[in-house]
Amino acid sequence: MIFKLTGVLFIVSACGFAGILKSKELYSRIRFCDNLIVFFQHFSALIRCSSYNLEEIIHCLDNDNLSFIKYFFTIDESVSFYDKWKKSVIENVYLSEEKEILLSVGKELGTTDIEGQTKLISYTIERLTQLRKTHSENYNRLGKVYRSTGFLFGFMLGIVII
Amino acid sequence: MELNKIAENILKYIPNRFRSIMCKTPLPENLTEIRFYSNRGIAFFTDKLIGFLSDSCDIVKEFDSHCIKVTSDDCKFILMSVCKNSVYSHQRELNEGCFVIENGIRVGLSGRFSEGQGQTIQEISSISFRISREKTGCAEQIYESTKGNSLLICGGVNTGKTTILRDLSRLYGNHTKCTLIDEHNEISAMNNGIPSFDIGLTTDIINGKSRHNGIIASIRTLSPEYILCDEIADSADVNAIVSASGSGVKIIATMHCPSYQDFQQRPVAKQLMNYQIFSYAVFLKNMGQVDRIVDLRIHR
Repeated sequence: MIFKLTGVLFIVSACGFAGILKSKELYSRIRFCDNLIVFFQHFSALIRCSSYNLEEIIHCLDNDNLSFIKYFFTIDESVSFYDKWKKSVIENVYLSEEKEILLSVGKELGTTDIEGQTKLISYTIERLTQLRKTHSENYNRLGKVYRSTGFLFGFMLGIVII
Repeated sequence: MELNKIAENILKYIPNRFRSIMCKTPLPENLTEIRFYSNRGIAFFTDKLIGFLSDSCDIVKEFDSHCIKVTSDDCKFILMSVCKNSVYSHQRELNEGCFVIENGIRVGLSGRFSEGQGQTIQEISSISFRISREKTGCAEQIYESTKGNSLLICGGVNTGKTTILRDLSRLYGNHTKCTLIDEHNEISAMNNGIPSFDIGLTTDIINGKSRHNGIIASIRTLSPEYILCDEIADSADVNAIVSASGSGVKIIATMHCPSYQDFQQRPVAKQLMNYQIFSYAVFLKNMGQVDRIVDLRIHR
């Protein structure tokens, strides 16, 4: 009986943990959007206030939260900016909507004057904010469901085993 | 400047498919320009010859089907590379259609410019890489005959006015405080604050400002003994020069004017003569060769 109870406890915590992980995955999408929004806000400020070129700006904004930026600087210098950007986004961003936004903004980055660039970045921030809102709603709606389902499924399995 | 170094600088900015061919192509001596013509070829210019790059890594005299063809996308690629992929931070250069890259190589753009204020190039027809060469010592004769005085260097197109001015900047700037007003960055070819040519150890460079604003700014802040500037063209320039001269600064300037007869008829020259600012006028005939030095103090 003790073995059975230990097994059930283990199953309940494993299922509960899986539910929490799934819910955290939803939360990480919100965090990723937040990081991108901050990145583009700083990007826009640097375009307006400094004379840096694109790569210098990206270098300034390099941080641990955005792995695709880190990867950007490891790509061969001889390819164009957009090819580098595209490669780093495709190989490091796995979320389809975010990937699509980053690829479309990357195509236009640096190709227009300051006004055009700030408008482009504002539009990108708007899209990311909208996406964040959707992720946030999903998290509020599904996060709890995943966590509860995980535990409940664990309990049910436990009862079946006992 | 070594030919290899020139090529190395230009190769950085061109698409890979041209790079691999141009790497293997022996460049002609006295190369002055490489041009990329949209929907046409890549032309190499020397003092006497024009040649086109062929796919067999040769430069041929006649453009034919074996010659490398440049597309408008290639031109855009070059433009974006020269802009360091940041059009927004190169608006001034785009308005003027001219960039300066490493070693004083000037990149000129031709094509359709947008209308209205702040004209920017929209469609590129050709891109040229002009290789500047400094001729150290070419102005020594002029320097010896006119030193300590305000000087006007006159000549027609391609007579070497800018080359002479650059060398005078070096000669004066090695032992006096000089300010070089280099509106279009042609004289010093400054890149990242570093002049590509020897323009003197104590020469300050004002780049990107109009000549008259540059002259006024230099008097206010840099206290030069000599101000050097290229191509005096209008009365705003004359007024600024008058202000500078009134502050005791000597002026060395160039003016587009092929002969003394022509000089006497120009309204700007007349204005300058009235103010009695310049002591000498040097007239150039060909590639920096002095035709005559006129003592303007006698002719007043």
